[in-house]
Amino acid sequence: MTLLDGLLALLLLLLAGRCVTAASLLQAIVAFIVLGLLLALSWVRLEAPDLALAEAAIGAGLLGVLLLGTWRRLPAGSGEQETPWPWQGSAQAIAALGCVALAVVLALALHETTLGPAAAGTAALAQLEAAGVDQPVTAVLLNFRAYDTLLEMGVLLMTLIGTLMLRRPLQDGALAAPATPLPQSLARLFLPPILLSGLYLVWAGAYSPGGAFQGGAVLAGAGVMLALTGLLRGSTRDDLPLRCLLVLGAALFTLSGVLLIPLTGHFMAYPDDLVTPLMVLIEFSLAISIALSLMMLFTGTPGLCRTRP
Amino acid sequence: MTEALPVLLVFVPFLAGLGQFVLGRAAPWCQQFVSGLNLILVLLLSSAVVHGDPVIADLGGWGEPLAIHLQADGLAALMLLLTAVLAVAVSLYAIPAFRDEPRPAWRFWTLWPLLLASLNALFLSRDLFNLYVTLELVTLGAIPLVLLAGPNKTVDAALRYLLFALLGSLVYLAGVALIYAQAGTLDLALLPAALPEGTLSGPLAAALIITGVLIKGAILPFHIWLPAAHGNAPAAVSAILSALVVKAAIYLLLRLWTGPLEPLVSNDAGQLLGALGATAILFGSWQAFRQSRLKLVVAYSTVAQLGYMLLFFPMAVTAAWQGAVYHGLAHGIAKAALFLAAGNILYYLGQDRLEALRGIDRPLAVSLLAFGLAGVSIMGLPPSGGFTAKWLLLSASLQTGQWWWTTVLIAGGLLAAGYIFRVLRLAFLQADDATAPHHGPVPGPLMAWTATALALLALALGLISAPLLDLLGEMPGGTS
Repeated sequence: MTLLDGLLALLLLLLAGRCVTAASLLQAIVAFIVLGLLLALSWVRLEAPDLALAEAAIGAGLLGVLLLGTWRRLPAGSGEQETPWPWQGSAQAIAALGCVALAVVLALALHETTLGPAAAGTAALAQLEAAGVDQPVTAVLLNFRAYDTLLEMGVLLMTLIGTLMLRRPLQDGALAAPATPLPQSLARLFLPPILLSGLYLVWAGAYSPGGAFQGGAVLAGAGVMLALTGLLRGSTRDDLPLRCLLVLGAALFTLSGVLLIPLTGHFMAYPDDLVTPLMVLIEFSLAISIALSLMMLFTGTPGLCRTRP
Repeated sequence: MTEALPVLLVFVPFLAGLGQFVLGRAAPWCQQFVSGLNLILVLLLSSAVVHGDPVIADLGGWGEPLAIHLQADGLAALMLLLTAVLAVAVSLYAIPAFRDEPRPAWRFWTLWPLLLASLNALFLSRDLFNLYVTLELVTLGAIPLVLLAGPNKTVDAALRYLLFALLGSLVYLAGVALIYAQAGTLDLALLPAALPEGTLSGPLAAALIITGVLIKGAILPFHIWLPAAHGNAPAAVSAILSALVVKAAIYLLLRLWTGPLEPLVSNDAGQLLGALGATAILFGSWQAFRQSRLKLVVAYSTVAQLGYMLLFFPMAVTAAWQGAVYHGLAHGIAKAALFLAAGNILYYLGQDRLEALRGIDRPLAVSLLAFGLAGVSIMGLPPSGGFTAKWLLLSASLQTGQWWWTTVLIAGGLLAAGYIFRVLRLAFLQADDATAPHHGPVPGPLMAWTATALALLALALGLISAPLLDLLGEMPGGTS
């Protein structure tokens, strides 16, 4: 296994180098997607399956789709070799040297760090029973450090608003389904199993690796597939139900945190007998908001609509 | 009861932002309620903190070391107070400023309460990772706001801002990971005791965290994203960015330096930060003097003024502590007034090139009054808040025998006088020809007087410093 790990580390370095040195943008994007997949494998080797799932679904999957989508919309020829500025070479050399130096110092520092049992981690495992779920990662994300997760939903929403602002006013033509070799019948065939596995991942978060972010990313993937085959398309008309669903996760999370204060005495605490159902409810609502946000980052439109044959 | 205040300060504006998003059209009146309520909550919190003990909220009730705590002490209360006062003023100013553009207006009234919640969350956080999340929130709230001026004009500036901010986050996060690996906790109150001494990774983590924060705070040499972003955003947004968003990063530096990083940092590191600050003061002021656009003058002035707050680090005595924080307050109020006044000029002229300013003294008298009064505080003349802050920094430099900072303080003040008077001189010159180029509408009383009220407040800060400095208290862990 040491050989495998070594090979993995070497490949990661090579692919990372390829990302920044590739001659064309498309090659760099492909290298980046492969890098994400190998990174997910590394997380598996480091026994962090939650991170592996998130990295594969978001890092390699959705990020790759977003990058490729952007690449396709670039004017032809841009992003290839541009004329270099005069001191580009030396600036790149300095940046590269700085990164190598930082990596060496980091490696030295990590080498001498002895990992003891972390106080916060130990406390989390000790109180897992009271947290309402069996999976420590989910307990941290939705209970012990629920506040962080809630604020992350704010990050996602503001990013979405910012991205939609960059979108140029669309002509109707731009909204038409892109030409794709993926036939719609195939998408219809794949849709149920993808939706099912996405929902399963959300549900599984309670007792095994998975959860709102991983499941939401898979659901968003299903949406991207529908958009790519033209079954679903972006629309310039934004509608109230969609906006409600986009804030559903954050709103439900906050309101349950505030409204239950009389029962628990603390903000974002759950009463003992309601903790599991509440957390599952919140997890699913978060997954819906995450999936829609990620999908709309892909379409880049304030609304979505079905394509009628 | 008081421990509900920090929670409310985050979630009242947060929910208001979500509600505004769902509503789908601008509802400026709603934000007036929110910023008013926010101010009342901050005043209640300050009155609870001024009696000594910090107000602490344990989120989820899991206790140390597991839960995230919100904590308001004197420093946090002062920053919240600055934010709340500016929130009231900017929210009023933005009503007429965004009236004619329904689509950007909706986005502004959605993003602004979310950014307010993020700033409050940052000032209240007592957790190293939660601080990372709040820093991200603040940045990702600020960048779309820059874009409100129209993507064509600002997309370069916003993208550069985004790339720098992401680099800063990444570097900061690497430092946090190193700290957690050693200490096993992220709680700022527990960290000083939990960090092992004499390791390489301790100072390395401190260096990474400080570098990350310096990038976010646009401290020289990481300032290059700031002038374009702050100079091209709508005036209300520029005021928020310059007065609060970059200051949040410097606040974090003060908080961490005197708290968890205290055993990891050396006097030399403090001198280095002081030198960066001094360079920022001189370089930023000089650049402000050379600009040909009004808003870029004000933006470069921010680069310079942030440098003063860094002069705390080499001196590290209570006078320097009070001076640096008070400078943050005074600059925040005065810079918001400057940007709002500059926004009024831009609104009237349709452009902000300095040579176009000739002859605007009649129609824009109130806005120019605001610009001049705020300039008094930026220059550091008595009786303004800027004077009090510089006086405290000056006495700290004499007290610690580091006289060289005194020369920087004086040179910075003179340069500031240079760029402020350069603008005012042009504004009071007669126009070359009577047929002036196209002029827009004269800004209404709400736009003119919010700027003036803030400028007057910047002056008044020089007179009411005693209760505010009481609220701040002594330097944490320091003597004298």
